[in-house]
Amino acid sequence: MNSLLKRCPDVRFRRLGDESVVVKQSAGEVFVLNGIGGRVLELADGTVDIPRMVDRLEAEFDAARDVIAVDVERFARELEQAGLIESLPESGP
Amino acid sequence: MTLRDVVSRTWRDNLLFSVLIELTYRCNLDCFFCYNDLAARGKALRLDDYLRILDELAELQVLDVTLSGGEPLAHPDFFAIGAAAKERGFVIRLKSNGHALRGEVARRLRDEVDPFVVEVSLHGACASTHDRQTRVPGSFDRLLANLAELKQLGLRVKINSTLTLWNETEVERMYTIADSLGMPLKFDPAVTPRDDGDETPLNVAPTAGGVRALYTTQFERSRKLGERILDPRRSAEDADLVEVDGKHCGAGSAAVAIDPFGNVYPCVAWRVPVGNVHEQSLGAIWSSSVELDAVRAQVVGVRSALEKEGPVGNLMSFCPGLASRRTGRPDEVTPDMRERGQTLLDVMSEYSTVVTRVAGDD
Repeated sequence: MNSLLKRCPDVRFRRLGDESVVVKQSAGEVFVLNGIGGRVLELADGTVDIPRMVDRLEAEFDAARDVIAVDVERFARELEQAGLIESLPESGP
Repeated sequence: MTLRDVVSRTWRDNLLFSVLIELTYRCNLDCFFCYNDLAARGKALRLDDYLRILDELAELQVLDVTLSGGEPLAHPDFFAIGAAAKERGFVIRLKSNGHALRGEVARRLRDEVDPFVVEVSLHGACASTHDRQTRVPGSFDRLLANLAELKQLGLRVKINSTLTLWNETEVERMYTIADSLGMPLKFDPAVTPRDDGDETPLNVAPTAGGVRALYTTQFERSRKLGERILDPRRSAEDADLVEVDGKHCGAGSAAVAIDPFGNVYPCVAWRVPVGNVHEQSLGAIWSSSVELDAVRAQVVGVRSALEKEGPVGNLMSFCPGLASRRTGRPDEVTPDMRERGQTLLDVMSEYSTVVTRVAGDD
């Protein structure tokens, strides 16, 4: 999953301390995400791919880069499966 | 962490999460028991004030914004405010009488405001009862047509109703209407005085038999749906209540209401001003209002008052704001509240082992 990630338009969310509360409006579903999961959602604005997310989160979280990379990959996959984010085709050079 | 944990945390840590904004007290209906203080005056908030408030709410991490009234669509800047709320990423709830929600207005609502839910009011199962309440002939037929249109547009709609002397024999038929539309119907079993203390609306308060019939209808519906039922003799937890650090509710701890003149209240039912957004930012009010601190302490006191009532205490849908308006004390239980709780307890006991939540809840 190296394409750009973008939050789905029906997703609303806010930070609540270390967690994020997420509402998927169309389905009426509520999710609670932990720190990294919430940040992945927050950063998924359609301009950032996973390697760049890992760069950003490495500076924010006190964890090894490879651990963060695994977490980000996993969360991105789960968020996509839950219909909270979508992958955009990368634009060419 | 579950949603219940989230709610608990907002109450415990005083995290502002939900704000109700009364945009205007103007309305295109004239409901007999409208609770708004229609004589209230002050410096009305303007569009730029609302944009500033919405910016601040987003910064405070408020998720839930309810646009209410009066009739919120009667505000001349409703769509600009609604669109601004959407742009800032709030979960928007709209409380409307539904009268104007048709045609272009309904389409603009969906496209420009994109509310999570639209809550409308139904006052009876026939035109004579509904229109008697709204005092606008034709409002019942128009509402039903509008509800069908909203559904067709894909908007999520919830129907609210207050049980009254006038509609208490129509409950089952009102559920039939809601079912036919595929929309949930929620009843409030209590008529309340107006915000200015006028108790005229209580003249149409439902009878004890009407309240019992409502609860019986609700439990019967739950039984038919095969829902698990609470044991009323057990704890608040089993009554699906959130209780944190002894707080009875989130009024002033996770939520506030703002009236059309900028006055801030702990909740829409608790009309004790704790600040005004013309004079202070909402953040400043939230963090430093002495009145708000007092409210947070009072909702703790309410828990102990209700515990003295036994199991009934958890079942009377006790509202400290309403109690404060009725008695001057947010922790004082009135006989009619106690009677409603006892009625619910009695009916619940008859339907043992059947419900997932207290009747009347979402």
